[in-house]
Amino acid sequence: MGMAVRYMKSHVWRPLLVIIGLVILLLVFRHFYVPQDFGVHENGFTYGLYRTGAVEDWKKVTVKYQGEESCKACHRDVFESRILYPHKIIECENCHGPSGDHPTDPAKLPVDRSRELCLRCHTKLRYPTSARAGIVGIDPTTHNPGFECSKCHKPHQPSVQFLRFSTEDWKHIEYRGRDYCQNCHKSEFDDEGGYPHPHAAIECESCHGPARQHPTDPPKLAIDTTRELCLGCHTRLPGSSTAHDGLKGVNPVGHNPGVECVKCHNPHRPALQLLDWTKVRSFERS
Amino acid sequence: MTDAISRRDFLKKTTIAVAGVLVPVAAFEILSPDRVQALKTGDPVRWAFVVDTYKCVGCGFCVKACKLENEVPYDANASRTWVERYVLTKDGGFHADSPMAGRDGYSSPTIDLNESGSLYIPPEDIDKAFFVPKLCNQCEKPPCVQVCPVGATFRTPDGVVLVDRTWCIGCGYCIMACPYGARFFHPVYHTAEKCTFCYHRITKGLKSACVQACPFGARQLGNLNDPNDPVAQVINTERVGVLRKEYGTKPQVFYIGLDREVR
Repeated sequence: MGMAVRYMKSHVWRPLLVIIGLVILLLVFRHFYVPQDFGVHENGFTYGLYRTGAVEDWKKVTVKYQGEESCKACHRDVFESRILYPHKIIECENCHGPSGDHPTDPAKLPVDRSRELCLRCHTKLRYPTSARAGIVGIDPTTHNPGFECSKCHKPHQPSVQFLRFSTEDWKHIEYRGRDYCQNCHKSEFDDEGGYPHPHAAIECESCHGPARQHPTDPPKLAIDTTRELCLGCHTRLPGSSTAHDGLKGVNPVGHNPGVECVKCHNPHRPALQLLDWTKVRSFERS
Repeated sequence: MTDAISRRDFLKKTTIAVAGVLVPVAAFEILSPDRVQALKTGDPVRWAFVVDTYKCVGCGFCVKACKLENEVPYDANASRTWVERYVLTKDGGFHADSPMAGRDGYSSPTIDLNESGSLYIPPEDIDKAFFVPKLCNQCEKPPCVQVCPVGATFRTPDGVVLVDRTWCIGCGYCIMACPYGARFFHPVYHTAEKCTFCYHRITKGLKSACVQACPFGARQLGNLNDPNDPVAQVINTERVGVLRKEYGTKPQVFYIGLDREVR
């Protein structure tokens, strides 16, 4: 030790002191610069070296998407108008945008009516193994290109029976929609017999054909009474007790083959309670 | 006094030295820090994610919601979560794309090949095609955290990997280290950016923005430490897979219906 000190003349001491000074400066700087909560935490040095304040910082980020339950508080009517239809699974804010502090800020939420919004799901993509293949879809290049989907389709009630056939833009089309029929055939709409009326959802023209300029042209509409028309919805699916979407289904081979459904079932009052049993019995006898 | 050490002294000092080294090593190894934390708090939460690729239809609402919720510039080609499309053809061909991270959904059957243009695949040529939502795997052994030279990224006790924006120096090591490409530079803050499982939402009892926006339930987020949690039950009782298991990162995002082509 004594030997070492004797040989450490000023040319060694001076730079050494400078280095020691720098290290002390660095430590002082570090003491003030590095936050007190920075250090090794629960997950050890490799994964847990951090500033605990950072966790709190992330918790403070503003929530923008409030969720449909918060929309429901005020817009209960709109909320409930869609719960029977397929789009009930879509969050309000997916189309109306994040509500943030609505109604304070923003006071009014925009609605995205672009075709692109609908085409996210409704461009038909035949993709085996993906749920996408099962979604009703169109080819956007041929299905009314340039038109907003909501001109005809109601976003909250997207089922086909609620199509806006009578919309101004579609005066030229053949199908006029139930509102047009209702102008004259009021009784058909009122006569529901107090029973559940599942077919009320079906457009008149689905069975009676396009109204066009009726009663001028054509003066009388046809009625499609074929079995095929009914079986389009009411054929029981293999391996299931029902038809599509849980509709009542029959086996067309076993259920009165060759006989028109309307012989027993009243298409306007299709509920089983309203079956014309006299016809059923006479039919059974024959 | 002599230089030679006595046998007694040698044995005494060796025993003390060995014991002194063993005690701290033992203290670190028997209980993992995670476990200690769990014992201390008594109510441990371990966030985990389940993606059901069968349910995903490629609508991209999750990406839209994520970008708006987390203030990632909407038109920047960078996103915390993204949806990939895979198309496998009957001749053994394989195509994948994710234009704009899938933000606007998939509204065309044409595959985006970036600068090489695009490719239309007729439906009759397709063997299988599907969508795979991706996000940060919140690994239990996150390589991105290991490489951070300043301690700006870390794993919280409840299992979410976060970035401290005030501490990140923007060196980009973590972006290179992530085997899943889940990290990127935030176009505004110029710091490393990644999925946080919407930490500000889940810690308030809300769903993450992507989970809430998914109309089909393809994305689910839950607590792995709660045996009654539906997500924990899926992970514990159903056949789930993780991405790039061979990297040893122990991802906490579990996939139902993973295909061999998905990495």
